[in-house]
Amino acid sequence: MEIELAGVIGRGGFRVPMELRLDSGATVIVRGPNGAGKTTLLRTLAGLDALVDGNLRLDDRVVDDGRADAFVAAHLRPVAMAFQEPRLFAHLDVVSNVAFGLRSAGLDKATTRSRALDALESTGALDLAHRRPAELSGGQAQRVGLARALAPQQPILLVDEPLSAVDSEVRSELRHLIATQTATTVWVSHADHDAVPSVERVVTLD
Amino acid sequence: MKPPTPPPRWLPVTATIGLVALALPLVGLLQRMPWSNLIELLGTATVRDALRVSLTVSMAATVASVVLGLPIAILLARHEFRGIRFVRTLVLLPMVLPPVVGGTALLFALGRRGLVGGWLDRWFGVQLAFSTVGAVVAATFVAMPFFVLSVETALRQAGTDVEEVAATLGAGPTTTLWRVTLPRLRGALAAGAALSWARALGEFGATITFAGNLPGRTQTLPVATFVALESDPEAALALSLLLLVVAFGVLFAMRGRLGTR
Repeated sequence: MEIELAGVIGRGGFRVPMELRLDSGATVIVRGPNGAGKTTLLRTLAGLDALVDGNLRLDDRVVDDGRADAFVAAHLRPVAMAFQEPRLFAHLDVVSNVAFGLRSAGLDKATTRSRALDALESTGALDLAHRRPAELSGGQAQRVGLARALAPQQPILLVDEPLSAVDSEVRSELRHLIATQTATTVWVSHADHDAVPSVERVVTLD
Repeated sequence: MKPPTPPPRWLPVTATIGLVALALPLVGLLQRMPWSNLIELLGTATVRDALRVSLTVSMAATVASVVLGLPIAILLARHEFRGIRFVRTLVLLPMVLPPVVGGTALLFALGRRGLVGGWLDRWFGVQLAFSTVGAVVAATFVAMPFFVLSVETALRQAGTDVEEVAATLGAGPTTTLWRVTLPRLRGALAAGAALSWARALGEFGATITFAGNLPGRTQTLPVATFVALESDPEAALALSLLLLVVAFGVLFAMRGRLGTR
């Protein structure tokens, strides 16, 4: 899915002019110092923050133009997001966490479960399926968080540097996994982009 | 380890005075308690009726507090709107308002000649004042703020991080509420319901003002206690013990916390 954003993003008092155009299926790495607006960019694309001004178009559909009545809420956008902290649902076990998005999409129970298990396998977290979030280490929780964002296979994937606590070997595997998703991917990362395969573009905010 | 900071020297003494002042009435109550015929006193028809009315009324008031209070708590914790300070004050008002004022207000609003009461009477033949339902209304009026306060505080502490995740996973506001927000708040919901129930069970002023003192219909345990004080002081003591034990039990189970998780 194509993304075109032109305008001003911001939260609270903070404002950043922003332009971003992504072809369908492309992956872009977003870099920049703290406070440059990287997370706000992802939140704006996800629909968790609204544009201060300008336009956001996903394919042919304008989902935000700075007016409240044009704003398409987060749950109605074809977007999944892996957050910086895994933010797991503490009251659900790992497989139910990962199945959450698939269940929201109205899939039946069997399909939901098998796809959730597939997603867990892809992030190397299959053996954690029946644990509770409280029983996971930081790195394990991040693997589950990533699996949960990948499971619904949304056309747009937003990734907010979610691999800080996984060890370096696993991290490069998971980076490869993110980079090879067919979704249009906007990926906030501090990592050297040479270490990430098949990434066409790097955008630096300052 | 951090060395303990000693309290000011006068503090243990003044705190002890305060605690004695709190405990003394309870000691007085227990000292005069007719322990030997307690069972007998609590087994009379009057007490059994009052117990039945009290349980019915307090349970119904708890259900009403949860059903009506939950949307208010969510609104106050999660949404900014003009006049929110006014609304919050209004919701918490029954906690500090003398219950007799609440009862008087209910009487003039829902009584037969009241604002809404007259209309209820004319159109539906419903009279809330001096009925069991009226006792439920009075108990809900004083008990609901406890539920709203507990749940609102817990919602604020919980933040909205996981609700955001649920939204990016395609869950709409209602699904998110049922599948994410409320399951995480189980503890606070139970604590808030227990507090409202204890408050409803102990309700006296608004009940006797609005619902009166009709044995078997609106005479709750506190009302029966007040009436018994004149005619049968021993029964009043026994009833007081019963209410005291329940109140202590609820608070103790919640580790003495009010409002917060």
